[in-house]
Amino acid sequence: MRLSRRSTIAGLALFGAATRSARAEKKLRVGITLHPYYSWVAYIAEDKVEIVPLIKAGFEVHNYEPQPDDIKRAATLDVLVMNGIGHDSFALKVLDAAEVRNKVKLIYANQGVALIPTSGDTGEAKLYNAHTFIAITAAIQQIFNIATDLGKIDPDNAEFYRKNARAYAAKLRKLKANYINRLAGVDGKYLRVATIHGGYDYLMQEFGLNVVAVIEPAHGLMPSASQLKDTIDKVRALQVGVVFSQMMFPDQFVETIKRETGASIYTLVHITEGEYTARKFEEGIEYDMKVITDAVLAAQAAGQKAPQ
Amino acid sequence: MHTQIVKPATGRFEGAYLLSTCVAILAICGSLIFLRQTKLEVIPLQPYQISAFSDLSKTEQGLFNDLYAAALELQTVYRDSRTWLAVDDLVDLAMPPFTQTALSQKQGGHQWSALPFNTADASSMAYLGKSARTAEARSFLLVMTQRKQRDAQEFGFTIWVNADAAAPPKAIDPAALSDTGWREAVALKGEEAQRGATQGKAQ
Repeated sequence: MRLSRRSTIAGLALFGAATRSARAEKKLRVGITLHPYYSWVAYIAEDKVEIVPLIKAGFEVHNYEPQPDDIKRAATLDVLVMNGIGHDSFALKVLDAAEVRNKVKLIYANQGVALIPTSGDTGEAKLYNAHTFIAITAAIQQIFNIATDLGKIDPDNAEFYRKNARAYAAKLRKLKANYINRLAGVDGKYLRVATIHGGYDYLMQEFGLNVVAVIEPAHGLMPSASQLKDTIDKVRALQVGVVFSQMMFPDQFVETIKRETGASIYTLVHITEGEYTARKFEEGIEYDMKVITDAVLAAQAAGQKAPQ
Repeated sequence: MHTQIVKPATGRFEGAYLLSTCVAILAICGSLIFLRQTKLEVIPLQPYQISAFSDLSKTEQGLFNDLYAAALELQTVYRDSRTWLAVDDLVDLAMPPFTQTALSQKQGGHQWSALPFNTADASSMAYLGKSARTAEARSFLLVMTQRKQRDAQEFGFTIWVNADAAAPPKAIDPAALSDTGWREAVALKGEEAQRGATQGKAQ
């Protein structure tokens, strides 16, 4: 009888330890809505969490409609990192549909980020630009926000997250410095720049470039023939020297703008396409920084300046 | 002989039904729009404050955002080491706007220095960036504070601009800074944009 009681106590202790161990091994399932958030969480948390993209790779985020699989995935999340000010309003609908809105802890990456207005003619009221994920400085602000919030949810690893956030911020700063230094001796602010998509204001600001117009006919949508004509008229009227297009904008439209206006055209990436990888953000932002600095150097060599 | 007068089919009644339906739809929609109107939240700016979103030039906005990101990192470092980084440390970390780059030389050429100051219940540090060319960008002042609240640490920072910062400020508090021409630049943050808020002057 005495032995049996001991066995019971030992069994209970073993069960308790096993439960604690299982709990320790169960990683937080952190959902993300956009590709840059995958990269940032991967660098901040490494293997301490399981990262779950809310939407599958290959969907276009500007006109995305939730799919049944997304709802199933959402039901398994502990945390969701989202933009909150544009591009991922679908996420809350998915959480509602999965009936986990109150269970999943939300990290709004932009919560404490300083926003800037959208460039170009937006009338008297200045509209904020939601593309804080196509930048280095705004990315660093979000990386610290995410690390802080993740540390509140998972206090045991809070210091680990902060340390990684600092290392990642330093890496991104160094990456940007390499491209800023390419422009030593060049004053890019006299260059008249336009973008086809309104997503690059934060990045252009970091390189001291003056975006005089965003000539996107409609956010994330293909232009009609008359909209293309308006775009061409605007590029001519504003004497734009360099136009930054983006990958999803059709080549035939880009060629037409180039032929009709004589402006140099370069293509940027939106960093919301393709597979989710830890290096996705670095690769995308480095590609954009290289294209931007190439464009400024080429314009400088061609003697392009702002019209007097 | 039977004669029957047939009135022409004018569609008068159908027209009237259609018209009344249209009027009813317009009335319902108009009432719903009126009833569902919400007032935009306006975040009041005090007389010594300006909007970093709409009152800074593009160049200054770039500097402001660099300082804002630096402040978040300074908080992170303080949380783990209980020290505010020196300007030399920030330069070693290549942290804008403290580090001199090809770009910073074209954006005011700020010279940065640390201004330690004491507050009664907080650990504090200020960083002054004196502009060499205020036409390009005004001088900036970043003020960091950390207060211990029971078991938690409460961090805060403010960013100030001044077109005429001839000398370092003698005292670092809103009244003293405001009296010497400094204006606090207040960011429009993501959490405010999310709830549709805008910035405006306090009534």
